[in-house]
Amino acid sequence: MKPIFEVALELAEAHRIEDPETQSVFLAENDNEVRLVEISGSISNSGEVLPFRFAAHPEKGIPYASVVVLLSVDDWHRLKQGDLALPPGWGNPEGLKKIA
Amino acid sequence: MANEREWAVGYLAQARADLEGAKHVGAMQPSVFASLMQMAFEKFAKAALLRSGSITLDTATSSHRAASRMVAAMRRQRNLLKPIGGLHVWHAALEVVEALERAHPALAKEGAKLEYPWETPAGAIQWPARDLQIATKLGNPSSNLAAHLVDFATKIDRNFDGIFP
Repeated sequence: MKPIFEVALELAEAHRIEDPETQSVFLAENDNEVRLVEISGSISNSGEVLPFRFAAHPEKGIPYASVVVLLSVDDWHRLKQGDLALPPGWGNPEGLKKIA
Repeated sequence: MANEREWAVGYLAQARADLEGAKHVGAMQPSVFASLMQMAFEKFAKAALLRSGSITLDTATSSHRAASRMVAAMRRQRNLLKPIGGLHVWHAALEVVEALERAHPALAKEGAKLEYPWETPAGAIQWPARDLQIATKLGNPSSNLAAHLVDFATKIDRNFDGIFP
């Protein structure tokens, strides 16, 4: 099975194609699922960190479940300043790995 | 004490009931249709969040942006999902869900909103059945926006377990 990191890169690329206003994609490393934090100019400010978990699609080359958090640029800054927090178990923003 | 997943069952069931209500009302009463569709999308989104296992009940239920975030996140994954519609449908659905969300009474506050009348800066009283722009748009007989929206929500409903495990 492909490593999670490779699947994360593929998903990040697909998501950037889907939303060209995506500025950055970060991976919150985890052994069981792909956890992505995506910052986009197309997302409005909300002050909310909302993780949506999607099913795995092995038949389409995505053998892991994936969880996506979408943030506006402002909310991303608020997250880095500590005004917002990542979901429990995702660590802190400094621990995220930039993958796109 | 119920866990998040058990709460998700309740949210999903009520989302389905709201959607059925919206289908019955249809574009005959666009402002009521708009309210029911907003309620359905919000509850689908909260059910999805509660299933994620990454969020507390309080955070999920207090969210006012869950529906638009759900559709935006789904759009990014759309090539992995069972077909819900072409780009035009996704774009229209996101636009309507965002407009419905902005018109939620908790977000719109003193402005144009779903369900309740409001006062304009000039002092005129307006109400959703006559004056809410998104409801007028959904009720426009020259547009098939309401039909697309119902179809979109129905596909989310039918495929919910496959999309959000």
